[in-house]
Amino acid sequence: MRDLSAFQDAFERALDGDERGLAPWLAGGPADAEGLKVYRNTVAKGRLDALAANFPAAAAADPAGFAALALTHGRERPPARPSLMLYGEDFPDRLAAAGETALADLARLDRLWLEALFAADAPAASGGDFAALSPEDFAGTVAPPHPGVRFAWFGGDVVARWRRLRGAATAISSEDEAGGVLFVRIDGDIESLALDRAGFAFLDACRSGVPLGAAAEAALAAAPRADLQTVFARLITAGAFAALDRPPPAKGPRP
Amino acid sequence: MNHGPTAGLSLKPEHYADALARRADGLWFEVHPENYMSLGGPRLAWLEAVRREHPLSLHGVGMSLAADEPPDAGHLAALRRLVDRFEPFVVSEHLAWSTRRGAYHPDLLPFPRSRAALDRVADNVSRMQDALGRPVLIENPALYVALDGHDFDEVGFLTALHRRTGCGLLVDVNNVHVGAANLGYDPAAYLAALPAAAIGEIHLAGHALDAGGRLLIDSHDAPVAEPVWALLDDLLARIGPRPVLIERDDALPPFETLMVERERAAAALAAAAEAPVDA
Repeated sequence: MRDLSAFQDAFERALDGDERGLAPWLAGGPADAEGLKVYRNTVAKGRLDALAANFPAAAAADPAGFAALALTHGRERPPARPSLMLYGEDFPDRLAAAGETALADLARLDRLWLEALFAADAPAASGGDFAALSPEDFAGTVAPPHPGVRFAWFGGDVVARWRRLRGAATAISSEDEAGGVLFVRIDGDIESLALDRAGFAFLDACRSGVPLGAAAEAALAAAPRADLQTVFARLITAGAFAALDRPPPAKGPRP
Repeated sequence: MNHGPTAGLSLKPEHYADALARRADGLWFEVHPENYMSLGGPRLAWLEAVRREHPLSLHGVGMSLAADEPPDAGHLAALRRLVDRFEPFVVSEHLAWSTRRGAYHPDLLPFPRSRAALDRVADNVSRMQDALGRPVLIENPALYVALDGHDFDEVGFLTALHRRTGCGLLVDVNNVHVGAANLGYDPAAYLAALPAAAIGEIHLAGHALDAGGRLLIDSHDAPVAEPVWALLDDLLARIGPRPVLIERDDALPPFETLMVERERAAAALAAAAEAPVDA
């Protein structure tokens, strides 16, 4: 039966390289093969272009190696929906599985940048919000990272390499700061800020849901000589925290 | 002085700041809604800022109206949210399929224009229009393969779709030129047969010759070709002015280079506005 579904089944198989099923719908001649090749190439290029757009540092680091693995990924893990903004979630894992660990790390940084770009909007906590807390309330306050914030600790020179490939200039004041990265939204773009060991440990603890007092302890455990006040102030200025979910004011006198 | 949209440009993130600052009579912008279906983020904020200054059109590539299944409910809902937020003056889609059974093939795929296909596409267009609460424009895609099994030519199919669903037409003149060259029909006759009153928007784009040297590809990576400008002039002389868009997706030039092409389209529209419309 030459119905629309049967045609589309056959066309999908032709996109995968098997054109035999399409014969009932082809007008004939060598032009058919050429025309089908245009569709096949456009679909493959569309998936490759989407991965290259979503993982630009990895694509720039090794264009040929990236393209080969991206074409495979596109074929084996085609997009599930027409919005390609976040396509390729598991692509860094494919790079790693293929032994391309350096490319995989670059792709993981690209992915964090992308997630920061498309995550939900929310108000950020200001310095005044934290200053308004009493010392005991401060220690017990849970301050989750802003939904548009991503951060990671890589160590080594991965982050520096990623920054060069993305043309991102970031002031690094110590070697320790070179290992981490904080992606935040600034002026309509995503900036990659330096993040030292203490700052990473602090944010990581906040992300896990522990209150600020325990997060500070975690930061000091990771970097005993850290100046926590400076670390915390820089995170607030960067807009790293979502507006505070403060405990409701106690009703009546406390026991 | 025309206060409606005249000639517009497809908008890419590289050009947000230029688009926001630029002023030109009738200037408007078009984006693919699939690139804005995020929870939040700066691109939505940029688009909102551009929308405050210029008319906007949402031009979908992923509704897959010619798939033999209803449009994806989640995709429709996401589009509705964008339509409500940005209040575009036009919402458009393609006479093609791309998503089917949960897999998206990033292209505008062809199908035999049978009577059964017309039933399906008309039902899908109606579902889309019902979900959005407004009519949409349907665009002719570029074609590369001559299929058997058509009950309609493309103009006949689009005309029937317009009559059945009330949808308008988005005429991509470059696609007509490309399809005519690839499949061997007369582009002027194609354009002359379109129902004038249904046409709500016109697209122009550049094309390229396939590596094989036989097929033209709707590549969107080059300036609009002279034969396409000539087809535009003839179409506008027949139907009068309609919003015209210059599309560029690849090999993106500086914003002002695109504005030069945009000014040429605006001049063609101004000329068509002054001339009497052909009967």
